[in-house]
Amino acid sequence: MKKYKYKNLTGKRQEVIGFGVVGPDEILTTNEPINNPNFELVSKKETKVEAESKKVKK
Amino acid sequence: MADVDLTEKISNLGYCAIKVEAAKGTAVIPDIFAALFNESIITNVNFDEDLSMRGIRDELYGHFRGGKDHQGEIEVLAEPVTAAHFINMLLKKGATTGDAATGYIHPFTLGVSATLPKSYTLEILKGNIPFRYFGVEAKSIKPTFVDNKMHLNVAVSARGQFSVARLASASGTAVVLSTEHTDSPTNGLVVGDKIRLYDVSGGTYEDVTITVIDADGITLTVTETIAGTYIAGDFCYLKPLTPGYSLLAPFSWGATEFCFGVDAATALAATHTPLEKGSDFEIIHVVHNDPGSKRSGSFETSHIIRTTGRVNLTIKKAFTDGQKYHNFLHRIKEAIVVRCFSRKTIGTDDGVDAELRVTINNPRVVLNPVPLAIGELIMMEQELVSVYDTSDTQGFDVKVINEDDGTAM
Repeated sequence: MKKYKYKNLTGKRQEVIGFGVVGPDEILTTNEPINNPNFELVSKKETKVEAESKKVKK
Repeated sequence: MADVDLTEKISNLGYCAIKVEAAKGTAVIPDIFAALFNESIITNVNFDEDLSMRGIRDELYGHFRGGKDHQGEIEVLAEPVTAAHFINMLLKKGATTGDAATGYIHPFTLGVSATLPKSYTLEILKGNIPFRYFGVEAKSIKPTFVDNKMHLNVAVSARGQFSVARLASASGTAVVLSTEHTDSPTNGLVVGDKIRLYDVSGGTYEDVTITVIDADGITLTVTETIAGTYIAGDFCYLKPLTPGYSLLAPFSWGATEFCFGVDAATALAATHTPLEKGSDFEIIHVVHNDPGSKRSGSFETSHIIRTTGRVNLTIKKAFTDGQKYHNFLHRIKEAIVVRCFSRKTIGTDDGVDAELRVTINNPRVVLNPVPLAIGELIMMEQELVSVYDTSDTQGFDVKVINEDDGTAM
């Protein structure tokens, strides 16, 4: 499950090095945070929450 | 806390990012990535040598602090998106016209105002460290053709830089930078920047996000609670950006046309004249006291003041008739429009390609050698310079046609 979701704010297709091509207003999902002002973090899945839910399953 | 990767780095892993500044010399976070080939921008601290007689044989007794400057050249791929921004650093931009269907036309002329030509923040990643220059303006732009594609060689000056800053302290949510040899070390940082605090003894770092830059020029407030222990002598630098490109096909020699006519309008409408490779041009907008003015009260370049400008042009052409030589000897006006196209169709209308167009209203030939060499074709290499045209009331102008509406310029 990828942890970070970023929205492309530029209105242009962006070739994000290491992450792929993202169209205007599209969402980029990543395992690691990116540092690019053309993308806005729209959601971040906390790793702690993941760990707890796995624990409950056991 | 993460370990810093201290292995050797290849320059290909770097990037060049730019963004226009709302106020000259006030840094912004760059968001337009250009395709970089080479750069040679240096920060010169200009140590002021103490050569005084003090009863010693050593030539230098010491150094005093000097006034810094920052200048050099960058070589980037010449394509319609970023080319417009680099020219925006050099010349005065007029109002953008056109539309999405037929392309937006960005006109540039020789001139200045309080805010024009625009200044940019330019960030170049070298290994682990981003070098951010702010208040960057171009002094000249010389296109060159490498194989078929065009590169832009852009000579720039900057008002300041932020690369590596020495820490005085960092704990809680406060980072204090040292003022050794720098009065306002936070200059060049922007709220929202992620900075990397580097623990020299541990070889580790952590990233924090700036929320407040204090007016004292040394104190930063960051979002995250700092986990590590930092002492004076540790340092910080910007976290590298994640590059994202939105570039178009480059201008190319194969899609460049040199058009001649009795005046600029006639030249624009004329069928182009094929020229030999080696024909090129350079646009110059001179900076007073290059690399910039060092005025009282600051150890940094305080202003980048413009003086005069011109276009130098070289035309290499087979010597097939005497017409051009006649123009040289008799100082006959012949306007030239250089049209460099990208094989990128703009908007929804067929046949409109992105373009870099340089109009030289009244070029004058200053040299016109026609050398002979055994076994070689006879070529002439005219060297021309733009001259003010009284009819058109300008010496030259530049236009870039692309898909951007100009609001980011």
